[in-house]
Amino acid sequence: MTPAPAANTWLVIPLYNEAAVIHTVITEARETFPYVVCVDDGSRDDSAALARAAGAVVVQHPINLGQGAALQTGFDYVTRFTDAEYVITFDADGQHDPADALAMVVRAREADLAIVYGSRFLDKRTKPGAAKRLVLKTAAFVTRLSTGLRLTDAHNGLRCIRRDALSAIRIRQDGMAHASEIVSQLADTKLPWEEAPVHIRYTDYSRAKGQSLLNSVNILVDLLLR
Amino acid sequence: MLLNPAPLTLSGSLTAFASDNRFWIQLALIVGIGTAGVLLLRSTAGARHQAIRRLAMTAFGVVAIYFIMAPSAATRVARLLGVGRGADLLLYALVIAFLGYLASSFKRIAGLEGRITELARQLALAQAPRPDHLGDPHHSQSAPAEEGIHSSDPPTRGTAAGSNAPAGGSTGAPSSMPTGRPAPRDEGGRQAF
Repeated sequence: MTPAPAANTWLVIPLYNEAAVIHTVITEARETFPYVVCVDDGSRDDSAALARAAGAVVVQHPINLGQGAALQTGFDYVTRFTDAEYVITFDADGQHDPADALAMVVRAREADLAIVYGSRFLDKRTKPGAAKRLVLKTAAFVTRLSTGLRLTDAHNGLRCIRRDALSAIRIRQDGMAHASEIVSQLADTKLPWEEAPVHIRYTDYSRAKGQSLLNSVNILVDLLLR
Repeated sequence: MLLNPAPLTLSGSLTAFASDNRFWIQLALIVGIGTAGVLLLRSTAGARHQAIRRLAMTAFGVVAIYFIMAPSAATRVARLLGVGRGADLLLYALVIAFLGYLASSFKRIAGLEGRITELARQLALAQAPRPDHLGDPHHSQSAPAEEGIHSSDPPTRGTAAGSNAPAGGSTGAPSSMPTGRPAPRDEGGRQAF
């Protein structure tokens, strides 16, 4: 059965060349969240067909635009075509646990929060490498300097965003710097927020696909030269 | 340039112009600058920006033609500015012009990318299946809602309103909506941006 909090929640999954795992990820997620919109960002493999077969609504970018653009398209889809009260941003590579996402919606509802940010550093479940930890902590620190939000994690793809907060987001960073951009725009709304512990499942697959440390240089430059 | 010093004044250089052995290279350069100038003057942009660029291009053309006809003039200006040779002065000016060009085209390309992104996103949303086309979330595993959106498809169902019929292959649309399903909103024609 669909838990009540999931009934008015849509999962937004940006998808780019994840044919190996996307069917499993969506199938597993839909056991908790039946409503999934998957934004296929011009994948060259059959990710889109697999996502559709797994029961997601698939919105297809005609060309590859970047994950930020894919998220914005997903947000636009939800605000235009559904009455969803909450949106969960969820990664396509299987790093995220639907149970964590459900806990975030439950928490948002009971505490009347507009935004719940996932953080992998609030409990001991996630085991990032030292270098990754350093980059994420640095990014969180930069985010804190620019937005004033005392986040413990940065670039965590799992977030719960209420409809009113969603309308304040206008992602202009097509690439990966959107994660900080979302935080910055949500911070401007002054809406109530909280962090929730999430477990990032680092598998060999996600490690191979994940952002390289060098890419954090790009993220930093994108943010500073905004 | 040093072996064949040009006359010191513009009028002097004009009298020597036709008989000079530099005539053909000078003619080629002047025609080249004239052509480039006309092409740049003709391109369209914001009126104010365009006017400024046209003035700058005209000034550039006049100075360039003068330097071509009187090569030593560039060297004299360079000495005046404490730079050794006219060629060095031209190189510095070129570097600055190039960096300026890089900066302006970077900005222009960023703007262009933003517009392409918006266009592609709107296209994707216009062609997206609506939530009510899907089967029951718990029973639609074998029923893809819609065939892939191929670039060769004619855009016959792209409008935001009233495109209730999927393009084909849809087996998942139930006749009755399950309870608790979010109702689709009719927001056709809304301009979100």
